[in-house]
Amino acid sequence: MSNQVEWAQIFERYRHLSRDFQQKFQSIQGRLSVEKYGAGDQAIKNVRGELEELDEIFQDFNSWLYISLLEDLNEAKKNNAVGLLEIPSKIKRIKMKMKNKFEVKRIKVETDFDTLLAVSTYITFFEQLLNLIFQNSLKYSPVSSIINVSTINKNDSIILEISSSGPVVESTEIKSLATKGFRASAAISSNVPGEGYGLYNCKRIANLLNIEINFKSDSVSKYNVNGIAYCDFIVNLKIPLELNR
Amino acid sequence: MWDKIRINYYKLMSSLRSKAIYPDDIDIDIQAFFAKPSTLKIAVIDDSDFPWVQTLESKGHSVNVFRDYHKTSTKASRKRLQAYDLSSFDVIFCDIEGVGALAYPGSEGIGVIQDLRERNPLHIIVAFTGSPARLLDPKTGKNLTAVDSVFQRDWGVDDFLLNFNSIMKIFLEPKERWKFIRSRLVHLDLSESKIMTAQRAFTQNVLFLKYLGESTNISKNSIQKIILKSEKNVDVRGAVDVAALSVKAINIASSLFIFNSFK
Repeated sequence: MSNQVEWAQIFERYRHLSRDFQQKFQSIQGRLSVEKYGAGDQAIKNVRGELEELDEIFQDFNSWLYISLLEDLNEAKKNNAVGLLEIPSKIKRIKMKMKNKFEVKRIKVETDFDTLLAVSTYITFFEQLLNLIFQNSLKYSPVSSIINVSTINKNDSIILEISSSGPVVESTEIKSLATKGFRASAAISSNVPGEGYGLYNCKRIANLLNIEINFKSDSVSKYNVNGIAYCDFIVNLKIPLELNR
Repeated sequence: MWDKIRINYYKLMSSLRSKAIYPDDIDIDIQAFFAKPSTLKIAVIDDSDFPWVQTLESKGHSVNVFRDYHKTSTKASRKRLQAYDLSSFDVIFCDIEGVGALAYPGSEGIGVIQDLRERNPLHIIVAFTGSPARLLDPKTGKNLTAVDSVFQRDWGVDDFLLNFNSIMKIFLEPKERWKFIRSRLVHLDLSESKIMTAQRAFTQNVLFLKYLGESTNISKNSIQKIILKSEKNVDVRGAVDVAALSVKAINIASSLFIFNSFK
């Protein structure tokens, strides 16, 4: 049996289980929600918290399964279907998914979308790409800051820009941000833990989706947070409307 | 009397103009011709739970789920392996794993889709799967079957609906309808000249509908009757020589009426 068939079988089973898991999970969450169950005692509150943690663990597992596919791009393409998606719907999804984490850091996500256009791409990989970008933004953004998300429609593409606050990345380091294991010196001195894989994986997914990805650290408008220089960190994505396979 | 003259005039106009106009250029809002929302008849062949039945039904579509492609309710039917007749449906969703195993061991859903395609050359067939790689030949990477779309099992509801709406356009927009029909005729190996004749028949009927709808006070019901009658009179015998296709091809523009639901 070839490796290709094995991956196909794994994904067939995984996607069934994944859907079953999510349906059951949402059903339990719904039954225990404040709206249906009421505030409940401390035990119920603890269960709600643990359910949210379980969801995060599952989502992380799901992300790593997809990212592990990137070792073989051909295999990644074969095991995923291209479909239409709308960027605002995907931003809404990630806002919901990371709602609690954003609330803990009092981070707001503000959006400014151009006219709605559908993009034809590998939907699950696009979601993983956004996951990684927003996880990176959340990690480095100071408390009570804002993540700005905007789109501008072009002839055959959409420019998606995600701007958040982060430690100033020197211009000499910008090009290396998507290098495996690389961390900018400011990121290291900010004491935020990391291994330099997040933006590297962003770049790999972007390559798979024919998306041009660029990073910009706007060091003109600097400010200090706990003695570390911060500025706007911008991820710019040029997303083709049609994926050229 | 006056109406009859006008109908004949527009029929002649649409016939003449169909020679110079491409379906892409016809600007027509098909929805405007219907009082009720457009709905489709959908068949699902899936051995596990198809998660979007309620979603589709909430949009007014009717959904019939079949656990397998062949009737297996009795011993005799299992022995004869008689396939369900899905010709009255507009869209067919087909799982790849776990269906058609009795008739097509090894290829399962791929075999089902190949058979469906042969029996229903002008139907929309969508593979609904957790393993899109199964649709490809592991050696060559080429598609093993001609599906119109592939829906991944773990897509969210927004993605499912967006992609389903794209399929709906095949029933509502002349441009998308013709693109679909053309691809099916190419797949059936029809010559360019025959496809061109079918294109003219299609364009003529869509134009006829447009003229009647936009330039007359004839009621929607009457327009529908006139168009259906007109389509029956379109001679596409020269255009289509595949027996299974001929009946459907005559109804090319009727398809714009969401024909299965309308009839």
